[in-house]
Amino acid sequence: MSDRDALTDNPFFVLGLDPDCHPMEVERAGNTLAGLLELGVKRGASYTTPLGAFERTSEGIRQAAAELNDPNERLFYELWATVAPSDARIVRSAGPSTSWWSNG
Amino acid sequence: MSRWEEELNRLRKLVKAKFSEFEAMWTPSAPGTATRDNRPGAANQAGPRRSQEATAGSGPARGSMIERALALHWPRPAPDPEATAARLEAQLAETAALNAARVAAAGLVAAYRGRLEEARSLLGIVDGFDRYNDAGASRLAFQWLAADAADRADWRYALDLGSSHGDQDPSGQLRFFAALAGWHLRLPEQLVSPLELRQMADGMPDVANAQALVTAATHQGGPVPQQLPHDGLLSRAVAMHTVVRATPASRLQTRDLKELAALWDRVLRSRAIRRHITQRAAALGATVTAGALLERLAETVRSDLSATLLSGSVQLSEVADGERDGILGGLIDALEMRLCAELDISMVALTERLDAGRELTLLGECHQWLSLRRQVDRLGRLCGASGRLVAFNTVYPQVGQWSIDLWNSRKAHSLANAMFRWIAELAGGIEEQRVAETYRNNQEW
Repeated sequence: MSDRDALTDNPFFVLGLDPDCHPMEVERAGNTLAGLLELGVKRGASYTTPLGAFERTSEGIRQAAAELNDPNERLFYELWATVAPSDARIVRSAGPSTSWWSNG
Repeated sequence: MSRWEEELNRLRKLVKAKFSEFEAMWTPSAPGTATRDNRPGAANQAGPRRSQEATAGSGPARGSMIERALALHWPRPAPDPEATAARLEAQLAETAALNAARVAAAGLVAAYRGRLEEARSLLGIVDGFDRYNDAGASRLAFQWLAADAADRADWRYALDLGSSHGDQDPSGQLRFFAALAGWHLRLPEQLVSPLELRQMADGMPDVANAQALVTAATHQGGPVPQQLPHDGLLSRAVAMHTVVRATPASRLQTRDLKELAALWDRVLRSRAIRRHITQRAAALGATVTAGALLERLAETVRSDLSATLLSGSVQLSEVADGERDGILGGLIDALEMRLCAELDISMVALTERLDAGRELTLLGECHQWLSLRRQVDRLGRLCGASGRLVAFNTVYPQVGQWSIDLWNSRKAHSLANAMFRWIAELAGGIEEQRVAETYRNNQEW
């Protein structure tokens, strides 16, 4: 059992796949995204979850594909992917930073 | 005029002259020379310039300590901020007289290092820390805390700071953050018009992003959970779970958590979902059973909610409402056990150190007390009256004796006083009036 976040690290979101996708699509999406990332194409650089957008990494892609190829793991993440990023309709707004003390 | 009145007037003039000198030191030399940075998170230079640490009878070295700590946060900090921070840390660690200004300086250095929880604790005790009632240091601390609260979307605290201390802050920053809070919390009695809010923002050019903050407050109050779109039980639970996680901890409501826990309990009991999992497992060739998968689901939910509860202001006892079953029951038991164990460990460590006579620097003693105080506060906040009772019984009388020793042996009167005050408040909160009275009487001012 992995200790990854069921929502923000969900392999379906990382690979941009639906929970009912065919196993072949996992392989294909993993290869395509890894290629895009290698070429520095913007589209591959991030993925969306109901909790916002996150950076996509080659390690994340590899791990996501491995998880979806494991039927037990896939079944667990399917339960959490019942809300698609676009369906959740959570309006997230980081808002402007207030910190007058931050020099970052 | 009596001799005493003459003496009093003389002292007043002396203090005023000293304060004027200090204020002049903190005022920019000419308009336009101060650096400004419009990027998010840029430094505000308003409050600190008016810091009147000199009223605490401090010499130039003490003034320069808070000045250097503050300079770490300016848009163009000292040429070598790392070295400055390291020197300050060394000086503060060795200080033999901990006063409000030095606690504030330690807080600012902690904030510079990114240790924000420590910074919050230190700056949170500056007001009334020493007998001189250092208004400048207090104001600076309140301004930092208010801006920090706004950054964390803890609008209730920002509002509280503005209401309690706004009139002590001529820069208007505390009132500004309180006005923003009124919008974020949608409190009709606190709402000022958007135009007025913009005027307030215009009036404090040193607050970075003031106008952007106004826009954010008046257009929406941060993340807003929208209508949940799904009809299925599992989908609704996941969607609501997402909403709760997306909501800033300070805005979480007891009813949201109760509703979410009830939804998850229904998911875990649902025969239809169990059937779906079994069928899906067969289709995928999974070996996991529905029971095991649902247990993993419950564990994930508890872990997420536990993190949410630990960072929020919701009381577990309110959420539980006597309930000890289901998702919440397990969560409450686990959290209570964890918090009590953490406090026990801290107390064992403290007792061992004190028994062995190993003294820390005064700032070290202060840090250990603040760390303990955070744990006690959290236990009380999460577990309500029972948590406060357990916390008090765990830390008292060891901490009481510690504070008395600091007063008697180390002559750390300001720190000991702050501890006396805290113990009195803790004891008062659980109706231990005799202890509360004793520690109130211990306080010197």
